[in-house]
Amino acid sequence: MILQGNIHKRMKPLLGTFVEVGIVTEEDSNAYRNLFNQTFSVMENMQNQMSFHDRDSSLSRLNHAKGEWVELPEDTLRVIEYAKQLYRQTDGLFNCTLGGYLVKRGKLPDHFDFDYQVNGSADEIEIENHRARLNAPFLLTLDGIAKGYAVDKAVEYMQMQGITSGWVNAGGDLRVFGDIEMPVYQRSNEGLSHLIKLKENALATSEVNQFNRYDCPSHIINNQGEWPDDCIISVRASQAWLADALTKVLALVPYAQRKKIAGRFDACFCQVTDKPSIDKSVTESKPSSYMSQNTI
Amino acid sequence: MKTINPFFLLPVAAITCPAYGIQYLSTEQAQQVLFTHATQFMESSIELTEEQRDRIKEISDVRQRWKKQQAWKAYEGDKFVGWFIIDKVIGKHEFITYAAAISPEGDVLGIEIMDYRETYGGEVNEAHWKKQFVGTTISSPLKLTRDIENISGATLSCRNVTNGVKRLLALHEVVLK
Repeated sequence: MILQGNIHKRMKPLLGTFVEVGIVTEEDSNAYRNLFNQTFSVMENMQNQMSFHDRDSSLSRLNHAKGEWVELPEDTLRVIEYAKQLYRQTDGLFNCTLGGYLVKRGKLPDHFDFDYQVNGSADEIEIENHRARLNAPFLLTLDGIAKGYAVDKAVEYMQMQGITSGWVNAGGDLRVFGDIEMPVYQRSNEGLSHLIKLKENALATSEVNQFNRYDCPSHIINNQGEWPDDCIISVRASQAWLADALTKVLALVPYAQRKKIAGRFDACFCQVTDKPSIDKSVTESKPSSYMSQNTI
Repeated sequence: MKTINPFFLLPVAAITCPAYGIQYLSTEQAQQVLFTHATQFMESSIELTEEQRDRIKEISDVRQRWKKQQAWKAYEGDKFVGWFIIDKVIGKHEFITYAAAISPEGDVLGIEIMDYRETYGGEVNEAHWKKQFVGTTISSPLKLTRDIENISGATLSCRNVTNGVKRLLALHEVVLK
């Protein structure tokens, strides 16, 4: 059936990357100007809460509290709870307490005037009612999960406003909803490859690259601060926060285990279905030794 | 099933370095989005001297590549409410045109991506890809006969736009204040 409709899209620099919001409707774009603004505001609010970079974020208040209880917004607490659950469910592979490593290496900003551990255990994060505290002096970072969560919140907001079909793509953390199907291509240094057709689902991609590419902000390490082997991991899951977090988990396990571990979360480890085309202008360029960071 | 395609192949010379891109907002649309209550936009493009460009680099640590910067003054009635400036930045994969709204005092009021293009080799030349792209603008009605296509890659940093805005704020300091 051929259907008539309008696609409306906006893009903003947000969450440390480029965030695209798209909707499919029968109406013109002016009717949705406010909706776009509000959807971006929802994500900006998540950034303001969970940014490690921002000294005044809710997350930073917790990191600076030296073990004292800190009242936190509901969304920040929920993301911390998700991170704690994943820590247990992945036998510690997903570990949000490695902020110290990243600060020591200059990957995250150092706004701490006290000694801290480079790693810890998510079990040492205590949550009670509307507050949390860190029972060891590690630095909590939610970079591996919060961007996906912000995408979920944006989708939730649009659906509450009556949007039936659309998507949010936060630089590769993608969620599609409604009666649309989105073929997705995976970007790598070698070009683009067909990956998956996405419908009513989320997809996240993370890359480990030993050369710390300038334009690749993610940074995946294990509990000892070691890099895993180079890889590009895409995960499909029902929600973007889960897909986002599982890319970090799968990057840390051998290839043969990835499918099985994803399956435990009703998620899918996605692989490209065709050979990437070679873009020599990219592959022959020298990798930069500098890596930027997510701002969330 | 609705299937649609939001990626539009731009008619560029695309034999060895093809690009595909998306126009998000026209100049007029970006003006309306960033200055919702403005009643008039007066074109006031800025010609920069060598000294001014050097000063901008000194303040922002970002090079001002071009001598002319597209800009408009936004008014609500007779009241000047800010600058609307169009700028371009280049990343490793992407070429971006964006608009910044800057208050008369030099505060960033908002940023909107107007046009986003990525460059790759290879498959974009292939017939399969070319067939999927439609030369039109975002505001054009589309027949929903095609798939949406999207790219999931390692997250790209938006540092290039952040640096661009730093440069525009320095430009405001040097020329517009």
